[in-house]
Amino acid sequence: MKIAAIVYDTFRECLVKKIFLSFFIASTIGIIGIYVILNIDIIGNKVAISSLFSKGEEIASMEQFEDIIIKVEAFFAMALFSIGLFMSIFATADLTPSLMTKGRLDLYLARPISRVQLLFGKYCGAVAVAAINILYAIAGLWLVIGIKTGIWNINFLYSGLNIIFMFSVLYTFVMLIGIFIKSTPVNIIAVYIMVSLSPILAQKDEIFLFINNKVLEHITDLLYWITPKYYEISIITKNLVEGNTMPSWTPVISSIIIAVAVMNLSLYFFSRKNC
Amino acid sequence: MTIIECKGVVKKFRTGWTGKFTAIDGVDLEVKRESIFGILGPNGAGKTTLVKIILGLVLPDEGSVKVFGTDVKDYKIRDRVGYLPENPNLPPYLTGRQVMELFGRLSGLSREAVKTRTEELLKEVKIEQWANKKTPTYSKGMIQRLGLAQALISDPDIIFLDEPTDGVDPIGRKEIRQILLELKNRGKTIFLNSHLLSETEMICDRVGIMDKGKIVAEGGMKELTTTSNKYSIKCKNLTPDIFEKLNETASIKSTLDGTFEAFVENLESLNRVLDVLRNNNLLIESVTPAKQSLESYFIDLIKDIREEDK
Ligand SMILES: Nc1ncnc2c1ncn2[C@@H]1O[C@H](COP(=O)(O)OP(=O)(O)O)[C@@H](O)[C@H]1O
Ligand SMILES: [Mg+2]
Repeated sequence: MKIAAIVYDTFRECLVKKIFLSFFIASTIGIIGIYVILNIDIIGNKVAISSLFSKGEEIASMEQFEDIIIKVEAFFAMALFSIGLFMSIFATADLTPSLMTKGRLDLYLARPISRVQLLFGKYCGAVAVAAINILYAIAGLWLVIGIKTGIWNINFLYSGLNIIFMFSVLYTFVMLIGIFIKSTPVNIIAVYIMVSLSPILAQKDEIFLFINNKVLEHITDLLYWITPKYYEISIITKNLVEGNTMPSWTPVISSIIIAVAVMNLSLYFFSRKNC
Repeated sequence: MTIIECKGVVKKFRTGWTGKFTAIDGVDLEVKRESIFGILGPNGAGKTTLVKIILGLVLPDEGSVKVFGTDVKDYKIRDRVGYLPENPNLPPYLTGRQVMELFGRLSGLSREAVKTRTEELLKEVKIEQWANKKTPTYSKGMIQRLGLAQALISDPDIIFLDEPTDGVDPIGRKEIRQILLELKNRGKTIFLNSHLLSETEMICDRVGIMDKGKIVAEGGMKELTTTSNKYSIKCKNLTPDIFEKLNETASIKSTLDGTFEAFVENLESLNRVLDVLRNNNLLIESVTPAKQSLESYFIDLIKDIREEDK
């Protein structure tokens, strides 16, 4: 149960950070805000939305209304997929550099735990922290929207798992970079650049219809295969919430393979590190 | 019984892009059970690196290291090991008590065992009243005390201490020495790194002297500090002619207050010197084997090595 002790330790390390608290407060404000502001009146087949600021107006039929709410949920899911994900990375990115500050790692490694257990425990801790943040936000939003509108879109709840999955993939990169680079801003920027490239990489085939450069095309192909499929998974998440048919699960599978490979690289370099 | 065994250990650190610096240069070492073994050496000698290699925290380039007869690559040997690093960097988000709990759990102790050990040890190192404060509020001396306590949490059989009294006040130093002696009496082995000679001299049974990555001398504390055939004799009213006579059997060095040191070959010579003094009716106040301090031994040794290097 030594891994559990490390996960717990990681938790406590993140808890004292302001960013963890701000995420929590932002989610709470969002959830309570919706609860207070949004008022729905259903009269027959018609729906009227009233808020603190406007008197109820009849705006839509039941079908249109459901459509709107699901779009709103998709919007929230996308916001969490981008902003929520990055706040989670902010809150956890310096775990590895902090573990490796002079005189700290010695204390851990002098214990009967292997380096693999230690680093993997830190990883699980970071994922657990992010998962709690994200699940709290998603489940809270799902609950108030459900209570207020009677629309219980279970797929919105599932989208939380997608976001956590994306975090656990991106975090393997954060960890690998953290073993070599002490600076957390540099680390976050590097991951951010990788993520920003993903829409371009995902649409490389279309782009290369217009550009005729074999070398550039090979480099782009390589980059596509070694980076997580952030953009494609965001599309999957949106489709999931909206109940559309899924394009393809390939990006998920290839992201898992990449994450496992990067995690192994981290473990390899971490095992060779001198204290 | 041998507890630590190093054979031909070499460690080179990369410096810059291409350079290599040999921090440990062929160390052979054996440490026996139930003793306090000290490694002495100037700053940068490689003491810290050697301890980290023995603990498996730094991987050597050559040679083998065994603790309890097992290669240190096996992390399970650390079940029986405690370690206070040089300048321990305790997790800043934890209180003293939480630090103890964390490392107790990581040592594989049960929740109850961690609880009782924590309270015992916090009392022993005298920081109970600080136990609920976060570690960044601790002074250097308190950090060392907590560092020592966490090293002892799993009641290890061997304890590695790297400059344990660094930044600790004189009373604290004495208390730490007492804790160490008590541990030794309970059958524990202690491996102590220090650049403080007097301290090492006070508690170590054996010392190894390290310089530039090599163990340049090793021996029991008594062997290193008593120089055989050297006695200090105290007596009053030494006249020049008696002085002459004594010089035949021993080389004499007199001092102003009437004491003198006699360097003799063996015990017979010593007794011949004493006969001369008694025959001349001089009153002998004391005869003691001259003791060299570890400090002077150490300084002479390092000086010799530096001269050879030139
Ligand atoms: N990680 C490292 N990288 C490069 N050089 C190191 C490293 N650790 C120690 N050294 C060098 O090795 C030498 C021995 O250091 P150390 O073992 O800390 O000595 P001591 O503890 O005896 O003062 C020093 O010159 C130090 O600069
Ligand atoms: Mg040192």
